[in-house]
Amino acid sequence: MNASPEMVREVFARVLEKQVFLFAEDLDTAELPESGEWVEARMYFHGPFGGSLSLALPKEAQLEIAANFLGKDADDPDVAKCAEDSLKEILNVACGHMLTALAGEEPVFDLSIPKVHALSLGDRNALAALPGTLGFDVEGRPALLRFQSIEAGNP
Amino acid sequence: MAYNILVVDDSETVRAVIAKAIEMSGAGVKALFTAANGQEALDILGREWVDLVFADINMPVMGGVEMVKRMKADADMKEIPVVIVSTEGSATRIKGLMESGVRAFLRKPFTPEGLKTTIDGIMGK
Repeated sequence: MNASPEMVREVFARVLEKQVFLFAEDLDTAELPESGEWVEARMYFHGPFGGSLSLALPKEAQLEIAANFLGKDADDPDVAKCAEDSLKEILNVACGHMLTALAGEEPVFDLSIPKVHALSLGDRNALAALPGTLGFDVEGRPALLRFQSIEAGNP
Repeated sequence: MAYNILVVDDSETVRAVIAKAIEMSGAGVKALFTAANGQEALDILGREWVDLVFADINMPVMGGVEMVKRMKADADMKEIPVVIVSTEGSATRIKGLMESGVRAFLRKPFTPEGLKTTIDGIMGK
């Protein structure tokens, strides 16, 4: 089942706004900075169809999400400690809502626990170049989001 | 009225956020307990007075569904209301949760106001 880019964009922006009070606008995936440390969070889903959702962004954006998630200043020691968990939670919530938007409320999906890893600039550029990867400007910081679905029974 | 509330989630961050939302909601809290999974929650429920439980579904060791099942089989715990807090959007699965004894379902992301409405609805305000 194919997810429209408009749906993925709308759901991600809504979750980001409601959960961490950050606003996301469209960004051309060719307009990414050529420096900085990036991380990627990825999770998988299985049900009537399967697939994955991944979110890549600079570490500073990850800290900003965690700070807003906790309602603390970005330099609070708790923020760095919870940065990975916060990113996982945003991805998890976005994935749940995208699946409902795509498949409705009847199908049951199992979601994996998201994992976070460092992303080299080379791998980030490769992700940005993939068809279906969407770019976002999250209040001045770039982010990449990729929702990929595979029909059950298809490899 | 102030309540003893137990928050069950494997993420320390999510536990902190739910605890903060409960505080911001204005719902009276006498004591707030936290647990990282269903088994830890059952241990707390076995030794503390708890009025209301907020729990995730997917957790290592013991998830929320199994935790509710064990609570319903325990004479001392079966009447304690459980609210599932999750990203789950499947009406089929939510119906199954409610049939297993879950009192309410709160979908993430939620607001302190939504949380307060849920607490009031269960605790009879």
